[in-house]
Amino acid sequence: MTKLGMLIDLSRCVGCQSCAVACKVENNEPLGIWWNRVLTVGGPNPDQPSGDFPNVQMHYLPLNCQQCENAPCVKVCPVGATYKRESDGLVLVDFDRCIGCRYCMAACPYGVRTFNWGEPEYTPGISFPVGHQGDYFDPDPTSGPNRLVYTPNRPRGVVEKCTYCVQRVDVGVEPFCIQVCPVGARIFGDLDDPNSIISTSIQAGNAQQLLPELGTNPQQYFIPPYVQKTVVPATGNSAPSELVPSEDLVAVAEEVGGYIPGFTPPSGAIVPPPVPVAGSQSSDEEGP
Amino acid sequence: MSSEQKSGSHWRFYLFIAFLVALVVLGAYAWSIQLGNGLIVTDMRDVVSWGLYISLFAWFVGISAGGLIVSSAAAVFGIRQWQPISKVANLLALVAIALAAFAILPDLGQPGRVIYIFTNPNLSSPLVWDVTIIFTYLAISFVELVLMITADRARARGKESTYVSRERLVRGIAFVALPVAVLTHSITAWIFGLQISRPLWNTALLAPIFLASALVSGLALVIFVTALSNRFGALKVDTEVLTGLAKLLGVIILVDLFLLGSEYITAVWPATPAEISPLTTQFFGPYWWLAWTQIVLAFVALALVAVPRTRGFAPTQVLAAIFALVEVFFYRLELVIPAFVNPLVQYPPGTSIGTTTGGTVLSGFGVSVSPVDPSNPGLSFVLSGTYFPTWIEWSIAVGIVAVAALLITLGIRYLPVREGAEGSAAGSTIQWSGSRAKRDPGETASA
Repeated sequence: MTKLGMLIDLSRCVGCQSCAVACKVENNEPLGIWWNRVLTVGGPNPDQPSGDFPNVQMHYLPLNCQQCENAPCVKVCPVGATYKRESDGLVLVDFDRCIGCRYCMAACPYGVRTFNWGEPEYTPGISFPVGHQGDYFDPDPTSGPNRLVYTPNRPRGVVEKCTYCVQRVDVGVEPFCIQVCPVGARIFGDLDDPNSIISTSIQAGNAQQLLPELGTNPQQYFIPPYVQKTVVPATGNSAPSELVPSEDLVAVAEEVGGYIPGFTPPSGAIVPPPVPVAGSQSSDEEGP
Repeated sequence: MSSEQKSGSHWRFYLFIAFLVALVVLGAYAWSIQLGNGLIVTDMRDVVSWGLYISLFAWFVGISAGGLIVSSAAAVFGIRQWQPISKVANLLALVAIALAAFAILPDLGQPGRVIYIFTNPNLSSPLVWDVTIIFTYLAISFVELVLMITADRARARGKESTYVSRERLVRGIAFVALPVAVLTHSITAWIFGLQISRPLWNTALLAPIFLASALVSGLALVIFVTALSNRFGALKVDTEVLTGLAKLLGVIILVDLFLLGSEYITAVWPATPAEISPLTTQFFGPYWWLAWTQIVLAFVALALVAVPRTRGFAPTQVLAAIFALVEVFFYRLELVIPAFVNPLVQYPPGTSIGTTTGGTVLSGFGVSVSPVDPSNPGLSFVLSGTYFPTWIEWSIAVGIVAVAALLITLGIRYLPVREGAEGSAAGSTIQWSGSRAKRDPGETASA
């Protein structure tokens, strides 16, 4: 058997959003619908870390359908529009079957399902479907006949979500998000094959599932973001060497007119002289 | 309940009917707009993806419980004093459960595909269980009502043996109806309570709470309708009966509050964030007023029926019934909406809402995005959900309630469900129906 899974190395993810955009293009997602989002785990805003500089931490969490083995959405769907494909364990939505009750959205713990509330809208001026062209029916005979699992022409009032690019996977091509990731943070493959790259990487990287305590057993795994690397002891005396601001950071600091307010540079760091900037606090570092 | 009284209040009756019809027309108009544009005309979006419609559905399932208590329990436990209102109670249950089934339709994105629930049911879905049990309950209520009416008709024509066999059937069906009704409320609770994704719902106590709150609202509806019908001469019910129902309402409100209280203390005492945070959202989040209003109304209704001096008065009973009905409606809302407000995975920029409009601009996010529709600014992501029903949702909800009120009013008026207090001494071979009042023969003829 094949069990398709995805592994995202959070220690590599740079939060560039390429996967989110690629997904939106390949699957012709209407405005406001995102099958794949890149979340910032840190501060209250995207790309903002938590804590006070330099005691900050942040990582990205690309979020798409986790393709659960014990999928709540499959269990709640009253009409079997959401189903788990036997051949490779993909959780798919039949656009022709969905009645739009949104029970699956209530049941999904990951919030990755999205609904066509009105007529799908696209960017003005783009009147043609981008990405995959034409309807795609599930070829797996065990799924039943005429399972419309992808269509560029979205019907109103149905739920949709990430399919791991079923239209690509079925012809042996990786999901588009895998292909576009510039840092190779995404790995795709067969979880049932112990020698596949994904299986060995999950083992080696101590990969985890999202919300494992819920027992949904996703086929999507994450390698932890190694947050310990960015944690600085509060005393600051034993700051690891990699926390010394790089030349780039110094350059940025010069450009914006000094370090971020409240920043206390670690001892031994090369700090440019503070440049007073109107409207911003001058840095209060005690460094040389 | 004499016809002279009726004709005296004809204009009032027709005015009321016209008012209800107007509300139904308003609801139908709103629904036509929704059918034309999709659910985008509601305020539901991808974070708060259920709202007023589902709350209304759960509320309608709940108010059908009145028929269970009065008609089935009267038969099963042999409570004679409720016999005179058992047919009205059954009518209320029938109308409520039918409207509950109907209330799912406006919530569907593809209402035309609802037939798939019957042609392609997924048996693991609590929604399929619920549809099954609702239609079972609907069928039982209908059969029970028809049997009750035909039994009375047979008796009015002097066919005592037919009457006895019909009444025996009614009693037999009541034994089935009771567990079916209990299951109806439990399964409706399990639609929510089985979901690990919403910690607010995911408690084993949800089914008992739903049963208790259903009994509260169902009994309140029976009190409300019978007391008002009494007032307008459509029914003749002893004050004793209504006071007895009011006392029972107080007991069930207490049970409901006890269940809610034990649910809350189980969440609060261990002080684990996973247990407390959904409750914090419910009671101190943006929709705090739902939960607090519900608790206050429950206590006010309880106080009204608890004071022996006042609970015997019809106005007090009606007021308590209204508070109880509204209380349970608020409970449904407070269960549905706050459960969606904070998703389990809640990191910036948040969840896409499914449209480009209606999202809130993230504060402090120093990027300006020009919206596609300049008249409708907003982003397509939100961190936490917001929801307040639009006028279309309110209109459809009011329209459905008006349909229920219309069916109940017309049913009481034109169906032979009424009992006269006179002639109640008629003997019978069925011991529990000995006090069953004889129906007005004139009503049989008109039916």
